[in-house]
Amino acid sequence: MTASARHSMLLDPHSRRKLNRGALYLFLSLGGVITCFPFVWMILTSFKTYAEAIATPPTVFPAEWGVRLGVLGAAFASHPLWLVALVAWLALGIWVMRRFHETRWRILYLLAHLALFLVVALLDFWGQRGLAAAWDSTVAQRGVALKPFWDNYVEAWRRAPFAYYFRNSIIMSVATPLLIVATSAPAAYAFARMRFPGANLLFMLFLATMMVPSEVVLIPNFITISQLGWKNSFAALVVPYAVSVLSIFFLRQFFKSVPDDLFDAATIDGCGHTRFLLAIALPLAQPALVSTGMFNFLSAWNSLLWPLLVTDDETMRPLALGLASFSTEAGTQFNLYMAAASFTIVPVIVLFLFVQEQFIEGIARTGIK
Amino acid sequence: MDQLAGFRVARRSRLMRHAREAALAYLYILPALVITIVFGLYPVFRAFFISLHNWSIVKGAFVGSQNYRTLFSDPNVGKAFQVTVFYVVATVPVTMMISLLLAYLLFRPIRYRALFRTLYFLPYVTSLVPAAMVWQWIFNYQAGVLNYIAGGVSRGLAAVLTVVGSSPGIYIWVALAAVWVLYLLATCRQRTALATRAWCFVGALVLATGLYLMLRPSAHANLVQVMDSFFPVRWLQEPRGILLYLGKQFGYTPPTWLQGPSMALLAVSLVSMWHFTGYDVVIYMAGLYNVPPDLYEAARIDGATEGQVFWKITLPLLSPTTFFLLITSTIGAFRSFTMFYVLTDGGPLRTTTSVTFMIYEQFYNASRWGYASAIAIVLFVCILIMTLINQRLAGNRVIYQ
Repeated sequence: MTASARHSMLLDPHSRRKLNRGALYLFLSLGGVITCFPFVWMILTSFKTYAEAIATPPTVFPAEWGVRLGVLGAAFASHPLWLVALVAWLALGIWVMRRFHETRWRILYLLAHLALFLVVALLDFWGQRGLAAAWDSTVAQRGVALKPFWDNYVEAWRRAPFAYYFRNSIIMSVATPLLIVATSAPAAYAFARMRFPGANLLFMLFLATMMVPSEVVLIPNFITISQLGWKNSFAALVVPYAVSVLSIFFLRQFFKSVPDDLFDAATIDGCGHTRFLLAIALPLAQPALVSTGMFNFLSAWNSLLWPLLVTDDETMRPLALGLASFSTEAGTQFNLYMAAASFTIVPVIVLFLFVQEQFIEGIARTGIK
Repeated sequence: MDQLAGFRVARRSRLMRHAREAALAYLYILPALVITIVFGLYPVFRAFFISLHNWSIVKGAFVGSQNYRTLFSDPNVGKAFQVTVFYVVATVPVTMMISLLLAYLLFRPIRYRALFRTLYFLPYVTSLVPAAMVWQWIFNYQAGVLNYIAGGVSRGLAAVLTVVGSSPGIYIWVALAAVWVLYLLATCRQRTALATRAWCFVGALVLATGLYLMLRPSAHANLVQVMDSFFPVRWLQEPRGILLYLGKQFGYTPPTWLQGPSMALLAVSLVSMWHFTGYDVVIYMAGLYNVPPDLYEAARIDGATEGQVFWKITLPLLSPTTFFLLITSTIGAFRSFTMFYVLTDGGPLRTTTSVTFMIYEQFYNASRWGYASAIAIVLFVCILIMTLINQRLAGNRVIYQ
C-alpha cells in the first residue's frame, strides 16, 4: 500500500496536512496560553483595587484602565497630532517587523516599549511629578476619582523592606556562582590535567557528596553556622553553597577536551599551570562557565529553606523568603500580593529574555551527557 | 660515574617536578575540598550522630536507636512518606509525558519554534515563591479565577447534558455514536491501526455512556446535578482524597485505602507540573537533536508510518534522556519543599506535609533536632535505594545508539 492511499478519502493529502498543521499550532498555542495565564492574571490583578480583585464574577481588566483609555480617546479626539503619532508608531512597528526577521531584534523592539514604560513608571515613583502624575491630574480634571496608577506597587513595596530583600538576593545570587567558579575551576583543572597521588580517591569523594540530599546536612550545617557565629550574615548564605560538585564535574569534562598540543605549546613557551588555567583554559571554557553560572544563579535566587533557617533578621533575608513572609502578613489582600509577585517576577523574566538563547542551550547541553 | 650522577640529578629533578605539580594540584583542590568536607561530608556523619541523641537545640542524652524506633511507629512520618510518594507519582511521569509530546511537536519544522520553547520555559525561570503566590490566588476558593472558569465550563456542559441526555436527545446521541463506530470499523483499512483503535475507543466510550444514561435516567439526573454543583472546590484547603471527593458526589464512599491523595496535594502537583514542564521540554528537545536523521530517512524509505518511527526509533533512542530525567526529577520531587511551604504550609490536616516539610517542621517548629535528623537519614537511605533500583530496572533498558 502506498503512503497516499493511507490518507483519508475525504481530504486530499495537501489539505489534510494543512489541517494537521492547524491542529498542531492550536495545540501548541493552547499550551502556551495555559503556561502564560498565571503571569497575565498576576499583572491584571496587581492593578485592581481590592474590591475589584475579590469581586465575583471576576473582571478581566481593571476598571481604571477603561477610564484611562476613555480619557485617552477623548485626548485623541481633541488633538489630531496624537492621531498622527499613533499612526507613526504603528508604521514603525510594522516596518521593524518586516525589516528584521531575527527573533532577537523583534524581542529587542518589544523590550524597548517596556523600557519606555519603566521610565514612565520611575518618573511616577520619584516625587509624583512624572507623566503618570500629570496623567492622574488630567483624569481628575474630568471628574473621575482614581487611585494613582502604581498605587498597589507602592503600597506593597512599603509594607515590607523589599529594598533589603532585593539587595540580599542580588548579593547572594551573584556571589554564589562567582565563588563556585573560583573554587571549582582550579579543582576541575587539577583533576583534568594534573597528576598527583590520590586523585581518583579525592574525585570519588566529591562525587559521593553529590548523592547526599541537602536535607540531611541541614541541621549539622545549621549548628556549624551558629558555632561560627555566622547567623544573619552573607557568609552563612553563600559559603555552604560555594562549591558545586556538578560544576567541578562539567568543567573537568571540558578541560579534558582541551587538546594536549595547546598545553604542550604553552609549556614550551614557559607557561605554568596557573597561567595556563587563567589565560587559556578558563577563557576557552566560557560557554560552560556561563551556563553553569546561570544555573547556579537561579538556584541561589530561588533558595528558600536554608535562608529560612540561618536568617531571622528582616534586613538579611533574601527575596524569596521575604516574599513568603510578606504573603502571610498581607493576609487576603491579593492585589498587593500580586503587585509584590509582579515586581519580583518581571525583572527576572526580562533578564531571561535577554539571555534566553544561551541559557536554554546551556541547560540543554549541561543537563545531559 | 659522571653519567650516573647526571642520571641521578635528572631523576631527582623529575621527582621534584612531580612533587611540585602534586603540591600545586593539592593547592588547587584545597578550597573546594575544605568547603565540601566541612559542609558536605562531615555533616552526614554528624547528622547520624545527632540522630542518636535526644537533641533539642542543645545536645541531650544518648538514646541509641530510640529516634528511629519512634519514627517507624509515628503515623505522621508514614503519612509524610505517603504524601511524598503520591506527589512523585503524580508529577514525574505526567510531566515527562506532556513534555515529550510538546518536544516532539516542537521538533517539527514549524514557525515560531523558538517562541514556543521560550514560552514553555518561562515558568521554570520564575522563582517558585511568587509563582506559588500567584497560583494560590488562582486556586482561591471564593474569588479564584479557576473555580470561576471551571465552574462555568462545568455548568455549561451540564446544560448541554440536560438537553442531550433527556428523552429525544439521548436516542440521537446513541444512534450517532453507533453510526460513528460502525463507520470507523468500515473504513479501518484506510487508517493506521493505532488511529483506528484510538478513535474506536473514544466512540465506544461515548456509546457506552449514552447507553448507560439511556437505561438509567436517575444516573443522568445525578450527573447533571453533580456537574452543576461540583465547583467551587476548596483546592488548597481540601483535605479529602480526590476519589473520596468524587465518589461522595455520586453517593459512594470508597474504602480508606482507595481515597487517593487529597485535593490539596493534587493542586500542588498541578503547580509543580506547570513549573517543570518547560525544563523537561528543553532536555527532551536536546535529546531529539541527538537522534541521527539518517535513521528517520531510512525508516521513511522502508515505508514506516509516523507512529512506527516514533515507537520504534525515537522513543528507544531517547531512553538515555528519559532515564536522566526520571532520576533527577524523582530525586527533586522527593526533596521538594518550597511548593508545600508557600502553597499549603503542610495543611490541610497534614495531607501536604512532605518528608522534607516534616524535617523542617520537627527541626524549626518543634525543636526536635535528633528526631528531625533521624527522618533526614531515613530519607537519604530511601533516595539511595530508589536510585539504585532505578539504575537496575531502567538502566538495563536504556538503549545507547
